Amino acid sequence: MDASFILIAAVLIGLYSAINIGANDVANAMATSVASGALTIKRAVVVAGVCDVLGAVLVGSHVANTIRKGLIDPLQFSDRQTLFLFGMLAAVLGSALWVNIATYFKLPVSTTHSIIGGVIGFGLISVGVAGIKWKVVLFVILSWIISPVFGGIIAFTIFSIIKKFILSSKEPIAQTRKIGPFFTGIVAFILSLAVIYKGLKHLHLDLPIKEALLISLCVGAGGFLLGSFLLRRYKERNEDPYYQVEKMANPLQVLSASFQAFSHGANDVANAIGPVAAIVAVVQTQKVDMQVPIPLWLLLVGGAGLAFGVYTWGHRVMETVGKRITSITPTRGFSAEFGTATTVLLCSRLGMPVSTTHVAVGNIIGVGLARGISAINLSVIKKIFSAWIISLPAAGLFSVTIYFILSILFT
Amino acid sequence: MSIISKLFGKSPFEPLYQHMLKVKACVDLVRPLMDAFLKGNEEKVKEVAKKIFKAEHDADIVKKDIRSSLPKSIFLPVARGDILRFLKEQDHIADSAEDLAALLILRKTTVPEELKKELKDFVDKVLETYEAAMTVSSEIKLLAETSFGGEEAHKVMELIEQLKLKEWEADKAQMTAAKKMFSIEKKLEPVSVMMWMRIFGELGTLANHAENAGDQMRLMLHNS
Repeated sequence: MDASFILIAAVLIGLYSAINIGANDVANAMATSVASGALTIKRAVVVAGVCDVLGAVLVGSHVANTIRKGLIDPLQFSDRQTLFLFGMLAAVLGSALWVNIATYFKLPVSTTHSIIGGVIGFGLISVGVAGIKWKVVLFVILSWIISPVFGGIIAFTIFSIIKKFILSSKEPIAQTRKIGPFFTGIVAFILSLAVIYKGLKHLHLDLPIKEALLISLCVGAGGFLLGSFLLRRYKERNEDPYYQVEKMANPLQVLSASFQAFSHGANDVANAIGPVAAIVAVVQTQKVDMQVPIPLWLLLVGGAGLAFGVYTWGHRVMETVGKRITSITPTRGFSAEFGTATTVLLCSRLGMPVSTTHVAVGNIIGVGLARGISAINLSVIKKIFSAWIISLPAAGLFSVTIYFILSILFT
Repeated sequence: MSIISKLFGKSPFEPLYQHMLKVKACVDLVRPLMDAFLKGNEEKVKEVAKKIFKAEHDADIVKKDIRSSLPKSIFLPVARGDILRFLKEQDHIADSAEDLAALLILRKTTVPEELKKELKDFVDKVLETYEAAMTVSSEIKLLAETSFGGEEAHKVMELIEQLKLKEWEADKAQMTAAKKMFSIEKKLEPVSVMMWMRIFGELGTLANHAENAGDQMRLMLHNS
């Protein structure tokens, strides 16, 4: 089979995955803002689309690298490139199929788990147990357990701070004006640091830590001033102060939701384009040399796919999700989204492919443990856990089957 | 369907507030009931009693809904048992109103002139206690918003103190009324004495449940 045919097929399948991911996952980030009335669905779609693309392009390469060369060393395939191409194609196709089938049966599966399952599946069958970098696999699986807990701790802490300094105070409105800007400042600082510290070389964003810290501190100060400006603009009404605090927190929540969409792009774009990147690298260089960076156009294609998914289907998902979660108010939404976004972004920078949805679940439970949410349905966690256990072997099996079919048909 | 939206269960606090409104709709009828009873207007007593039965039933429906929406797998900001016991006590206030109405239509009991003032005072105190309990209950949504702590919890704590004071006054009024009734026992039929004891008892129980509801609410607060 012609290599360029494989490339085109892989890009199309990757694009299809990206659209699916955009349609389903991004809504989770924005639905709380829609539910609380902070954003209209139209605006939420635009904000989510833009932030997702930015995240994918600016930070997306780290996780994509893990998927294309972290789990299986591609050099093992230097004398049989075609098998490697088939394998990566099988991984992306197999995981896409599995996600579609699981979604049909209403299983809450994660695209992250599926793509990892797909890559490991074809690796096991082509280079065997010894050919897989089990240490990386172990770290990835550990990150799936640690990330929701880590995020949950952040969300718990943030909400506890809001509770202690704002909701428990005698003057909640004045306190919001005082505390709020720190939150916007921290968000701006983290975002800027994640982007510019050893960032994407294509965009010349690879600054050393000292300069990166300095610039990020300035950006953070800017975020502080912006937050302070936004909160000062709020005019007090003749209404219970606690409800007014929620209204004041609306811009904070929009910010954290955008932050979450950005992190989602940074981490999940890899699920769609990670294997494609591996194929592109081989086709372009005509050998299995993985030192070339992930091409910017591919990140853009992935980002565009995510955004397209948000534009076409995301609004429907947002509507249904938004209607069901009216119980989450802006202060709670901010805490959960801040924790989710920070965790996912950190994992993205470490090259860890984590499930944004699972981290979000961990964060919502974190806010719940700080007594912030009226009712959490814990039976959902059982379902998530079983779907996660089944995803690895199932996606792997799909990938292996497709790999076999491809190798029989074309070699 | 998104897993995130399934994670959010139905909040019990808005329904608890709705239950409070139903209980209020029922117990607010105790005043017209007792007014008609004091005036000896039998028809009116029957009419109001019917309304009370209907209103108590409405409150029961909301109570059942809340109970069935709180399975053990739901994680709440306060102990599930505290919510259920609070609901039970709040519902008992309406139950007492119903039992009282039933007693009044069960047998024609006339209020002797000598007892009227004490009975009126007692009813006033009981209803003040009940109203204080409703004031406490109406804070439930704000408490959930502030996650049961801080300044708001402090405010509710003070309201509960006032409620307990009212209940103590109601107890005193009950004693006064009962003493008065026994001071004229020779004039009363034995069955009437028995009925008075039960009527007083039911009024006292209403005040007790109002106090218990406040106590249960106190267990939900976190800076006590």
